Amino acid sequence: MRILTIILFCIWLIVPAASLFVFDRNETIGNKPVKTLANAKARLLSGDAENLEYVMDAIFERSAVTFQAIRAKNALLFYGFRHIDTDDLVSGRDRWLYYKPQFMLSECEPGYYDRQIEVAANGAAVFAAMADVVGTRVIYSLSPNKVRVQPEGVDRRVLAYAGCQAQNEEALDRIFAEFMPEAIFHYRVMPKDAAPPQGYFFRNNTHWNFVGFTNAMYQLKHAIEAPAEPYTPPVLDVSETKVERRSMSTTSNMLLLDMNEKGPLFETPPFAPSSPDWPIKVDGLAVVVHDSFYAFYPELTSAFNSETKLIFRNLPSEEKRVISEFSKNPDLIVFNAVEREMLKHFDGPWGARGVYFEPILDLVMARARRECDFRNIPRLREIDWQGGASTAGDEITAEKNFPDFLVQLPETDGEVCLRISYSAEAARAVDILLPPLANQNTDALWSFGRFFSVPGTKGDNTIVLILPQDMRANQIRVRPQIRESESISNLDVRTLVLP
Amino acid sequence: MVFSDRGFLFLFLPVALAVILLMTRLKLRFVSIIVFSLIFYFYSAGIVLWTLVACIGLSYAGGLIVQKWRSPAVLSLILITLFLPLLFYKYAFFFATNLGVPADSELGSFMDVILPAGISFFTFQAVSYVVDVYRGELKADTNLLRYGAYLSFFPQLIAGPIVRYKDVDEDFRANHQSVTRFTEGIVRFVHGLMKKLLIADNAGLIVDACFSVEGDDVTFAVALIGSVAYTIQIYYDFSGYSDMAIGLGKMFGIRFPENFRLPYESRSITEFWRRWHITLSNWFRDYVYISLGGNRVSPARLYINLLIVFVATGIWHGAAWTFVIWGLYHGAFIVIERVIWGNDARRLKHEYMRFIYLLPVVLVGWIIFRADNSAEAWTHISALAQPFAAGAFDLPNEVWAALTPSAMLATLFGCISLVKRSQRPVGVMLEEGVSQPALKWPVFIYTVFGFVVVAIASLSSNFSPFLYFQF
Repeated sequence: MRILTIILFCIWLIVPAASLFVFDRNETIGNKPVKTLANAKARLLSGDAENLEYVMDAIFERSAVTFQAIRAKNALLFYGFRHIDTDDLVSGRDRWLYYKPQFMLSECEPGYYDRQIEVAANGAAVFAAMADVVGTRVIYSLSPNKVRVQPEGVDRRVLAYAGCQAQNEEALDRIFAEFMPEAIFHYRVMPKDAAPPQGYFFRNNTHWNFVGFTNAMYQLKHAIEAPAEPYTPPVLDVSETKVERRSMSTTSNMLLLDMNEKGPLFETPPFAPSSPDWPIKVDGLAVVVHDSFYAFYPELTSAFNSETKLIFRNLPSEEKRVISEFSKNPDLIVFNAVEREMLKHFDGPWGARGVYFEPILDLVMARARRECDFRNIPRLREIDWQGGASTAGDEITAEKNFPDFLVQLPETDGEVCLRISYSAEAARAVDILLPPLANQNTDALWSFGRFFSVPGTKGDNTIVLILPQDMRANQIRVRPQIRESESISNLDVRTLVLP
Repeated sequence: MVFSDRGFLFLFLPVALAVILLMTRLKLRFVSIIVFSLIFYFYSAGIVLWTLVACIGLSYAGGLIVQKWRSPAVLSLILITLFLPLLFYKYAFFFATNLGVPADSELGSFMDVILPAGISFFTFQAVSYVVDVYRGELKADTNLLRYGAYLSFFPQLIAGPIVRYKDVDEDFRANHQSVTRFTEGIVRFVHGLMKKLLIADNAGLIVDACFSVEGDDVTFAVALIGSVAYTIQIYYDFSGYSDMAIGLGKMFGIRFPENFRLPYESRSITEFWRRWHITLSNWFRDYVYISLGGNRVSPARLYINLLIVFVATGIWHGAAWTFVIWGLYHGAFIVIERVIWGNDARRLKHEYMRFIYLLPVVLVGWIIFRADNSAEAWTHISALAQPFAAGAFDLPNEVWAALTPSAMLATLFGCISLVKRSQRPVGVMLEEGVSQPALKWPVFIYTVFGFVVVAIASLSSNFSPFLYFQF
């Protein structure tokens, strides 16, 4: 027995590392890539416990034994104790499983997220308004966080992570109603009283089921085809007998547990080729940038015609493709994200200061160069620097970081062209701050995040733009991103109304 | 690096075991132990590795010096030198800031340093060695490699037990490795790992949640659950570590003294300290209490000495007022017991004293010990005193979240140690079972079960440091 114990002990000690040489090494654990072994030597020589831990993680995460150990632990907790609480997931009442990042608005102090939400909403609103200048319609659609539609599983353990999410969702709705009222919130077509017995989401997945997906598609279809008309949800015949058995990607990716769950189906498949509802009628080129919610059902390809570019944003490699498609001046752009990602996206790549705005700005400036003729337009004589800069001859020196000046625009119902030329000591972008946009429900002349930036270069610069139509005030602010004591010179600002 | 870390278990330990056992055959035992211990310490403490190396050199030389010149002045000089790194790294910032030095001043920043892991343990071992040589209880070792292997020996290096050289020099001088001892070591090591990974870590989730609650949210229920869970966590964490250290020591042929002997089965605080962190208690008894006069002084002086010893014990655990208060708190009960029961306090007759006296006192003590500051400790203790207040049984959501079924089950299982009565610690019984025909197969099955459970827990979890590392 003693010898046997020693033999087993020795095997036990070496199996996790030995398996690296015997079995295939893991490149991912669930949907997360294992830690890289790059710089392992430098990390080990640092003598730092965290670095050592990192290298050990990188080694053992590749071991097949580690994969099985994680799976065994999660199986015990999930099936045995019927409760799981990992970095990503937490179990709620009646085995509802929630993805923790959806509780991104958990702070309870009233107004805590207001500015962040306002900036994000304005980022999207400015993107849409500028795209409109070149005839591109932009729709932002938001797939709901599961907790917004299926809060019945929220118990006190989930609440510990959710915090004041519900309170802040109300703030989000309110601020979007003010600054980005055209955003489509899919949760609005998933009312509790019309839900099928299984609800709109899977219990063990962060995604919606087929009923949730279909409702969202109908809402999107209406927004694209008949935005001016009130939306009446279609009557869909959820089957009492037919169900789908769906493999749960959430448990498989995050707990390494393969499981199926039943989801509702319709008596009549709504996306059948014979259905007159689909595809959505789009004139011209449409680009749909979406995440895993739209991608969760292959029927997405039936919802749009074959010319529509469906781009799965979760693949980093698709970024270039998005920019390329946007450069073609599409007629329609749909951005779809789950709510938990929206603030990050709207104030990031999908907003007016993100990488996807660059092709839109290029198109706007190209049109402005084509159509705006400033030859006989005089420069504005009075520039109101708002007290942030001093003028000496042709040279303007900043007395604080990022000084700005007001530009009075002509009174018109038409489109306004703007030209700003200047010489700069260094490459500095220029921010264009807009007044309330046509569809915004606010009287405040200025608002956080309602601006876009035009890149600048060292030396002479000329910015030519066409501004969004129907802005609710005939003033903009221009803010060169120069630091205190930096100068620009030869500033020349002109505006004209397009005929 | 900690024993439950997968890097230690499945990379460092197999290599260290293979190399050291092989090198032992090649008469290179001490060199290999030192090399692996220094690697282990390098990944536990980083560049302050020099503190260990300096301690080995100083105490080795100090032993030879005091053996030749038995002068109190020489001894004092050596002890002061040995204590200097500990005093600087552990206490300089605390004393300076309490004396009014701003923490963000140049001097404050200079003294605000990271504590080298295990410095309290190996400094105390070095001091015990020099004093034992001075007292003539031990001959100074002339073999630097052997002494270096003893002081740096990684199983006991950073969280004890505090092993005195006279307790283990036999095992270092001769190779006492055997199949039985190795097997006993495996059983004990795996038992300790299970205590740490299954019970202490799960109880720790509840503890962290309860002690993160602030202000009026600290209800009676929060304070009670937090203190009970911490009572479990600290015992299973620290005694689990000691089991692992003892087990590892046996694998290398070294027998360490026991560090815990069912402390929660005590009936008085005096008895508790004879069962809790025994090697630390013995160190303070032999090198502080006896040096202060021991029992051969007036009663008043005796009580003062006891308080001094316990304040020192408290502050040994960390440079914070909570540890000072915790030491005084225990010292006060020791003095009171001495006044009331005299020497009988070592083992009171009545079992019920454990439940109506010992456990409540210890539990409150752990609140002081665990709290980040005395205000937090007071908040929890005063909440504990108000079981009938409005909302006394309310629990914030954060605590609910920590009370997962698995954490509750593990903690409740750990609570067995609060109510059971047994003759010997389970770890000791398991070790003995290796050689007993009736027990060897149950012990084998338990150990194999431990292999599976520990592999799952260790490979599937992230870094989880031991509590006693901060001391």
